[in-house]
Amino acid sequence: MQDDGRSHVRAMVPRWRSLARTSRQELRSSRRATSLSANPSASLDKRLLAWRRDRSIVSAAEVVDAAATLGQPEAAIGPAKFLLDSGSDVAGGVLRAARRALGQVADSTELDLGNFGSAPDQQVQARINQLKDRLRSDPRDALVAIEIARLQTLSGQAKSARRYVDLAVRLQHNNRYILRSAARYFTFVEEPDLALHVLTNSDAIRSDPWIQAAEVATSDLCGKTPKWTHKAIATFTASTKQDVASSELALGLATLEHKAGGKRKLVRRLAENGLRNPTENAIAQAVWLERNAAIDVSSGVVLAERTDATEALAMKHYEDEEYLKCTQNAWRWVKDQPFSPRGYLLGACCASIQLHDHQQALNFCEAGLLVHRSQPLLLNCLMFSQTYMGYIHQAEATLSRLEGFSRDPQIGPFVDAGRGLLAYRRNDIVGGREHYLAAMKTASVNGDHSLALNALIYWLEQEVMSGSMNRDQWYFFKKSAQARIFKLSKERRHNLQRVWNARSKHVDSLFDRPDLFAASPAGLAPAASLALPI
Amino acid sequence: MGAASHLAGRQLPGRRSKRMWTVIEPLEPDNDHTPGQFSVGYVVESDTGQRAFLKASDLNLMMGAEGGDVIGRMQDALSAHQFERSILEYCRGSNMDRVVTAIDHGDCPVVIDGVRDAVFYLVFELAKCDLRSKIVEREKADDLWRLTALHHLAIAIHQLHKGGVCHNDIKPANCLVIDHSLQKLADLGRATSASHPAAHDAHHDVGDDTYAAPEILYAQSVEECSLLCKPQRRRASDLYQLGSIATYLFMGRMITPELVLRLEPAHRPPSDQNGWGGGYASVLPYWRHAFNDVMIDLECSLRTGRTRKQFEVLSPLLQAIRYLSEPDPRLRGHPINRAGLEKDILGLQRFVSLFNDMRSRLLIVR
Repeated sequence: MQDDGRSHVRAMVPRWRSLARTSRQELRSSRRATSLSANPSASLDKRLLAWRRDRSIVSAAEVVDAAATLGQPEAAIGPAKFLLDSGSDVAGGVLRAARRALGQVADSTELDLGNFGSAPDQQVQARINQLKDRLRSDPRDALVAIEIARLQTLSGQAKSARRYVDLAVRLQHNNRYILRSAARYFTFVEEPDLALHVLTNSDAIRSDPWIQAAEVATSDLCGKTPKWTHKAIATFTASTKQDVASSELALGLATLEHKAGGKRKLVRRLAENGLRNPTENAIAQAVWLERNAAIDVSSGVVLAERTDATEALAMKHYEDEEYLKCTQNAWRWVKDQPFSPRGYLLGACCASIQLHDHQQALNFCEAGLLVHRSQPLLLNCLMFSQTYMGYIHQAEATLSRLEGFSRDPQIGPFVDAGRGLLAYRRNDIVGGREHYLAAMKTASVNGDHSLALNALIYWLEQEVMSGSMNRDQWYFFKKSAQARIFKLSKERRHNLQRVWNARSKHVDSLFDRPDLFAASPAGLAPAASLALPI
Repeated sequence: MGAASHLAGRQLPGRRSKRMWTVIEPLEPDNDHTPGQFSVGYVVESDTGQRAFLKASDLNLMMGAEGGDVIGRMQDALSAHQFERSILEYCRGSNMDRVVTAIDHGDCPVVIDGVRDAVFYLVFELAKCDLRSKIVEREKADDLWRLTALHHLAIAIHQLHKGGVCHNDIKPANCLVIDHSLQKLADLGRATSASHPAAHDAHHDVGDDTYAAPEILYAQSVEECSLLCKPQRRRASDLYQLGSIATYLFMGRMITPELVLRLEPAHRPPSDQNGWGGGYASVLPYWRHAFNDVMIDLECSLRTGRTRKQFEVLSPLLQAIRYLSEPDPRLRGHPINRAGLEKDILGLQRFVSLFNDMRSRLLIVR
């Protein structure tokens, strides 16, 4: 258990929500509306006059219609109430329109994906089938196609979703919502090149900052320079007034500058501009930048007013060591943005390492694996939680899934550590030691000293719990481990220190509860005699 | 108030029929909500006892509001009157029996309180009511009546289009119930025809914007507007409104206002800095999505309170409305016509036949 989801390099990949849950600002036209009619409300005025002269069902219905089309909903209030009062004499469709005009009708077709993690598969599948029927009725409805893709991706059918993403992009290759959704999909399936291709092939990229922001993020993931960067940087640094449409672009550019080793002043200025009227994604990026680029853009001030910024809040609470709040916001984050594994990882690690709430960690992992079926770090967290919950058989099954990634040099140490953990639980201390030492060695060889130290921390815990390490030996190793952590770079130390603090506190407490110790097997070599490969 | 508002009890000469029309009583205050229309309606009776509807206007009404270019407005109004008269004559001459044509017309000087004014008028056959009072109020029309009305209105638009006329303002108030089994399309005041030039020919939004086709509501550039003035686009807009009337007949709602209510405020038609500013092409996916929502609701409405057989008879209507009110104006019309198998890609003949066939089948399953 090492990765808490915060240490990933964060890119400003667009959010992908259902149309109904997408922010209103994101759905707005980038051009200001102008009415070409000389007197746009003439027909409404006439109808209002007729309504005042003769309060009938017909005249009321006409006002409701005109008010809707001409964008003056307040004019419909009186007539709509009149229609509802006239109830039984009015046709059903007219009554529904009156309710809609009064804001009393909510669209029920939207599946509440806020609870997707717990939504039964059948319900999601039924919704997908319903949408497929709808697409058959009108194969040109790109929004239905992309919604099918979203639901399929969320239910672990990302491959099948590809067809619908392609269809949606073919139908609407300039629509912002479709393009950003497609970009998110291709990023999710780890094909950022295709995301970039879709974005750069649209005309919208020339003028739409929402699309440009997506281009910046995906170019970064592809290791390419975005086409519109220099022009946009010049605009942002020259201006102090930014609207919400440009916030993600500004933060994306700030990130790009930071990664390219640009001046910290420029990074800060771009980030500050992006935070003037930010989206929640931009706030999360600012929080990440503050920590990783060592700049201060007062994201906390912005965050204090934004309850929708769940990702940023989760990260902030983790920084502030408010772990309960962190897990609460991590749940809100993953419910809003299940496409990112980082939310599940942060929630699981926080619950498991800091709160010792393994059941909650298990819930995070299981929910995350519904969407990210082969996410090795989630599998690692799941195996860890299952082991600590005593579900050894399930943990073994999870380990065998994780072992599928053992050739990946980044994941190999996790596999070894997992094997070690389970060996200790089977009372195979020698085997456990071998696996943990192998994990430390592989991580060290890969140059990931932080991961090697992480393995050391958990190995020490298992040694104490198995009764093969006494208090004096523990203190010796504790001192040694702490010294090694101090040698890490600032950022890595920052991450690992919290894990170390939590775990060492836990081990300290174990000495006060000898009932938790297993009996030390006879003839076992003392841990201190082992040569640590780090 | 001009002379046109004080005609009750007077006798007015008809130019064409050479009959005298006695003004019986004024009708309800102007139910015509089309912008730029200024008239007063009366029930009149000829010396042969025929009752009719008289639409009168005068110079005062034509001048409209105070201030501005009075002469220009009068000129526009006079030419509009002249246009309506001539196009009605043309439709009458072309035997368009589902279009309300003028029985008579005329103009004469009228003296009110010692002031001499000129009154212009058109005389139409008198309708019992319009679609609104049949549909908006519950249980006033059965399915057979609705299908008959739709069939008649489709014929009316087919006749107009065959004659090279686009109506441009098809709405429930202009669909008149002449008697229980006969519906006609009225008000050609905003029509356009290549053979009858009118002042409004250059305007893309000539009809009532409350029920207008979406491409008209969202037009934002001069290019978009001038494209919409082309006869094929105007015909496509008429098709949209026929589909909208079909929805109205079976759901009680015209498509445009129903759909706008379902759109996010940011996607609604542009109005005073609000709504969508990016032109129709860019809002089309949202409009299409909401249109499909309306179609789903319409299907529910068709299923409710009907037997399976009745629904089966009515179900082709759903596809017909999809063809007629297709959100993309370039794709409107019957697919067989559009596939190039017919000369006229926006032809309505297939819809006329379909509605007639549905009507006959409904008679059997009723």
